[in-house]
Amino acid sequence: MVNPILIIAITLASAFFIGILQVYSKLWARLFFFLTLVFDFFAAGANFYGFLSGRITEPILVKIGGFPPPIGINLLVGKPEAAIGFLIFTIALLGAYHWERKGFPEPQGKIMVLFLLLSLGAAGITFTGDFFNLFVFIEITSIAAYGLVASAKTEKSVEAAFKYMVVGSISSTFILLSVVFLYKATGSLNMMDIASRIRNISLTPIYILILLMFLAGLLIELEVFPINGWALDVYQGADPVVVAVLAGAVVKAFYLVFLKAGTYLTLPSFFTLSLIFGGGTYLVSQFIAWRQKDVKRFLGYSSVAQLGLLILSAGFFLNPTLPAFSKHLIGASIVLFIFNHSFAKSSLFLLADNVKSSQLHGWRGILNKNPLFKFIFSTSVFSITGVPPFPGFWAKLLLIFAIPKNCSWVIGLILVGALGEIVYYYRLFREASEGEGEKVGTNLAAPLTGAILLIGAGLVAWKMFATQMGIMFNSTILLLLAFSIAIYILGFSRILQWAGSLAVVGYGIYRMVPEMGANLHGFFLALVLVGSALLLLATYPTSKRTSWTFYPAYLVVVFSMAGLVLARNWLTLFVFWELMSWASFVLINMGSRAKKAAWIYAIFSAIGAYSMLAGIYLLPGLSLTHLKVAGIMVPLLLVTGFLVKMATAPLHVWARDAYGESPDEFTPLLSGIISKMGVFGSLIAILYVIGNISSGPSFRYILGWLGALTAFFMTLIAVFQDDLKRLLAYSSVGQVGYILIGLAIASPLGWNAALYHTVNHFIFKGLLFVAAAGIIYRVGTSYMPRMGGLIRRMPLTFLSTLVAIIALAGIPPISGFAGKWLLYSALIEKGWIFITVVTFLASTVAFLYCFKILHSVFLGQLQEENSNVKEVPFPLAIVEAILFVSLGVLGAFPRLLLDPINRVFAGIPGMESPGFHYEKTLGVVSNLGHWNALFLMVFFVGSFLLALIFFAITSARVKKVGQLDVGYSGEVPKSPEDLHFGYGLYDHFRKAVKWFIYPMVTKIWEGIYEWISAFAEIVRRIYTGNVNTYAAYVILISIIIFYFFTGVK
Amino acid sequence: MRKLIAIAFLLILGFFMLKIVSVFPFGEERWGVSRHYVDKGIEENRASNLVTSIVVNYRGFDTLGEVTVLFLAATALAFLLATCKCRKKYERIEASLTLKTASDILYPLLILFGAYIFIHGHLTPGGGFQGGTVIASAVMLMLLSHFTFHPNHRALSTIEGLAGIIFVLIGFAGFIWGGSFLANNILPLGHWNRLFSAGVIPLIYIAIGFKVGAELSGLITDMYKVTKEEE
Amino acid sequence: MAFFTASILLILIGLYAVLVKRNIMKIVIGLSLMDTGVNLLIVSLGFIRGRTAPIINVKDLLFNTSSKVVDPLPQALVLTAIVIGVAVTAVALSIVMLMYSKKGTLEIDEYKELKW
Repeated sequence: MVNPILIIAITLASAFFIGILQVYSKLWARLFFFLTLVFDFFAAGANFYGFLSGRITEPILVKIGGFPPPIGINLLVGKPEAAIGFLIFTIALLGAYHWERKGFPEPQGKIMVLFLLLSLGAAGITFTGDFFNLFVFIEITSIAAYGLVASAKTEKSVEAAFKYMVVGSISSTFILLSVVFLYKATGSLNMMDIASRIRNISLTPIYILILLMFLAGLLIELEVFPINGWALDVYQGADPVVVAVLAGAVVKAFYLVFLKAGTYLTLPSFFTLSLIFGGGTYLVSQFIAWRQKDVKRFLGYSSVAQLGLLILSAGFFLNPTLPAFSKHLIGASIVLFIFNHSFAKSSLFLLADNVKSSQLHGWRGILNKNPLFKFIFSTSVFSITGVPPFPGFWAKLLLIFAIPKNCSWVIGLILVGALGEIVYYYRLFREASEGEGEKVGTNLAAPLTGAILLIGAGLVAWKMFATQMGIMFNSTILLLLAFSIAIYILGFSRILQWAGSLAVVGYGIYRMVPEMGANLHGFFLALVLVGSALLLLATYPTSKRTSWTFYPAYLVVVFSMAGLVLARNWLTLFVFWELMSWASFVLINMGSRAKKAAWIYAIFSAIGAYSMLAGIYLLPGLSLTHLKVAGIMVPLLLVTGFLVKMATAPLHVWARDAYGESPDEFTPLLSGIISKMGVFGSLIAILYVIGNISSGPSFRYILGWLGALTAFFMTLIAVFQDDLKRLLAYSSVGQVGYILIGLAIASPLGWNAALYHTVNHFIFKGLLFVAAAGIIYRVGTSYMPRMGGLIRRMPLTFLSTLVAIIALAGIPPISGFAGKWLLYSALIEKGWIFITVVTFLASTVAFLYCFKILHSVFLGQLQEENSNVKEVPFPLAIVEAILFVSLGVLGAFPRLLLDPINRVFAGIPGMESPGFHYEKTLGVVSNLGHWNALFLMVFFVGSFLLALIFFAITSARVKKVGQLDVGYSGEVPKSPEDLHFGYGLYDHFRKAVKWFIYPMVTKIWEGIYEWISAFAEIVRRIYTGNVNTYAAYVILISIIIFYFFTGVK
Repeated sequence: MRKLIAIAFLLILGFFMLKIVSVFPFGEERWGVSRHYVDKGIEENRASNLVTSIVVNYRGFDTLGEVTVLFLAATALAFLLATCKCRKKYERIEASLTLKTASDILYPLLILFGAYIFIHGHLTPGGGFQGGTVIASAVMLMLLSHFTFHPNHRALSTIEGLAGIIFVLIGFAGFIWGGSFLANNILPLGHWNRLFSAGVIPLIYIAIGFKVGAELSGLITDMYKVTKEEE
Repeated sequence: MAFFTASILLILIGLYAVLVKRNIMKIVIGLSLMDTGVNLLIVSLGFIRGRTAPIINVKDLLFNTSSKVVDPLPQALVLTAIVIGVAVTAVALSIVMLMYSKKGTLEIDEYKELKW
């Protein structure tokens, strides 16, 4: 244990000493400065460690001058104080180091003194147990901060310092006055003493008024809306290093004072006030940042918002009616939030210091040129926005599950705010990863430390979260996730990374075999692991384009899906769900033109995840068993999350570009398996929750319609796509619509159909996307009018595509027919006639685009630039062949798949009988009819062979024309499109259905975005930049607080 | 309009403040912890001036903070104005002979007076801050009257820093020999109302006197220099 | 009571300058006025009618002191507050000088680069 007074006294003495030293030798002054900071760091660290390890149990009470508490000043350092003290000196040390590397402004000695005293003041604020002493330390901190904010000596920084000074003076006037009044009222200045004395006096309105005056002063320093204009200006105008220390350390000291005020000054309205100001600040700030063009100010908005969330948590934390368990959770979440925000935000500001321009467009593309910068930036942004496994994520989860159910609207507020945060942070992400930026500074050691600390803390927090919430994470999955990250080090050779990934997935399959079984979880686990292994094979790195992080992220997606399907409670499921979503965000963002798509994907993922989280919060229990819920709200929230991943209308907006522009190696996984996680989720949601609500049938009917409409419209839009991947994207979304219909029916037949189609869709869509990847790799474009005639060049790909398309269209004898047959049987059996009609229409339209693929890509003339293309690379060909064969085999023997599916449902009450049975000659028999797959297969293949033989015999008489042997009839084609006979294939049809394919939903979403931005634009005008106005807000808010919360009229 | 709104805001705020002070009748006897200082102050610290006793000993830590604040202000000002080009052209008029001569005579006297005030801080109304301010006013007088007067900046910085360090060291001495930081039991307390009494209190006040004097002088000089350098 | 009212009035006048005045120097003067008002208020809160200063320099005061002197604590606090006020004013003035050197004006409306 180090006596806290030593920390303060030694720091002070050395500040005085540096004041002398700097006159004589700058070097020595600098050395001494760092020595002091290092001493402080270790001393504060020793105290914190003492508390952590349990060596110090009681709070350290320091009697200065030897006088017992009410008479003399005392320092009181408990665990929270020790933690914040350590945090302050850690951030200060990092900041100082960063500044040293960058070069202190002249005169260096003076600025070092200011810096030292700033951290000392913050530590004093944290440690002191006396209100007047608190005021003194607040002043030390503030004056040092005024000086440091102005230290850049630019117009902006000086202006910011002045505003800070004016508003800060009002704040300290409030604090000083209230402290003196408090002395007058209670006769003491000591915090603990006042706390005990207040308990003994009746809280008349006047006392409350005094306490509120103190709180008002504090709220100014805590940057609550709308009296935080000064803070935003400081964030924007001051040197980023100063801001990093202010936001990372100093504000946290003030926050601790806020907590102390709530503890010691038993203020009746503390809860309401912190809810109003914390919640309001959080919500407003997250949205007014949307249009902000200055990165530093925008980080400022985010800081203010995070602080608002902390204030809100403080309100709950100190609410005496809160159960002990919840209080415990909130305490943990506050610790995590503070840690998270301190390091992530400091790192971001220090990163901003390395970028020349603080304007958004100045950040354009800088991530692509600076890998280390990218790592730190992503880590910090992920952590702030609450992405697992970083601390911000766990903090948010803990907070949400600690809030009592009667305040559930607070959850809504938190989640909506978090959504706003996602929007603007990933807009920055998008801007920063778009195109080729310039090199940035290399002063990255301090932010790198922050990022590493964040990762470490995230992992510790994961453990902590699991123990707190009493859930277990599958250790095999965790091991595999660790392997996935470890694959990164093989990044110097992509082939090696690919092979390593295959090995890891292989090992995963080996370890997981016992889990794959005849239940829902095991079934999906098999699909995930085996399917991913196949698709992974097809990612064979043909080019150097793939980034180092491609395989690690890919594997994280795979294993988080495995963890997701193995989850036995909703919380575990959510954690892995988020991990999967964000890892796939990383992958999508790797596409060179996918930045906007990734942004939209992030937003919609967040919409889904947060609504799912709200649903889980509202569930009566967390385990995956039948839960009784009332009303439609919970299932709706729950299922929205899954519908987003399935890209069901109207949540499909992200899908086109995310599928179309994501790296070609990744799209098969996105379409083939990740979207199936939505299916899995919806299935268990219907099984465990929706099945039980009173409004169940009608809710499922709505789901059925959503599926049908998705299937219809997406199919229709797919027809008019000229881009191969986009066409497949729409097709994929439409196909998943069918699955949703099957799920919604919730009869044995329907679910059999859904699961069958799930697997089948994986096979044929995986095949199509793998084929597409191969074609695009060879041809160099995904624009179909630039292809054509590839049948000669890529016979295997053609053949497998043909079969896949037959499966897609649901034509016998290939496997797709079984799915359709079951689905229609289920629909008719259920009696959902209109849905049946729409579905039927959709699958008819699907023929059009099926034909378009064959026609535009493989048939017709070969473009001249494609005359040298070869068959797809060997590993892709293998995958194509495997999938192609399995389509055929399933076509002939559907029982290979139907039997396991039956067994999956056998354990579920009401689902024991699949609704059909087998007979030797008739094949699969249901109430509505029967179909013998093997017979059909033999019949069709036989006919095909006959036709082939006939063709072979007669083809000798056909005159052969070269593929490029075409006449122009005097017209000279201007572009390749003119030569392509598939170009504009359905143009006439397009005119007919113009109104149906108008992107109405997209426009609505865009409209919502625009409206919110415009509203935010209006709201942020209240920050006029005029210091008179800022001061007026302060007075206004204070008198509002005084008026409404005291009863003094 | 703006003024009216401002006045309305302030009137409401003033109303609330008046409400607060109205519960503390003016001039009413109401002791809190200070009862201890009044009753036990002489016994425990032997300083006649009870305010000094509080400022330097009972709440000596505040005073350390206070000294720091002043130091901070001086540093911040020196830092901010170090490279400032805040000059405005104006003509400088030589001070009159009377003023110069009078200043020359007053200068040592003022410094002496300042020293007297802080040395007697524990006996009379006054102390380190008051004495330091008087000293700084002497420097200011010289700056205004003498063109060539240049306080030695290094010396000022050194005095300032050393005095601060001495303050902290006295605190440490208390920590080491007296059991707690700033404890006033390491020196004999002496007799009531004598110059050599009250333990470390006069020592600390002397250090403060030096520090405040040097700081305020430095502060004035820094501000003055900025405008002076432009001839 | 007159002391209380006067010092509160002083605070309000200072605040008025901060809220309304467009000249930066006047705002700083307003802040200074506020400080003064607060200090005055603190001292008058410590006053006890009919008592003397808390300086025990005559034998008579040594006994039964608490019935003869005013509350010394507010005076001690005010000493600190005054010094802090001086420090803030000094820093404020240096910031104002810097501002003036940048733009050559003291009009607050000219300093609105940071907003929204």
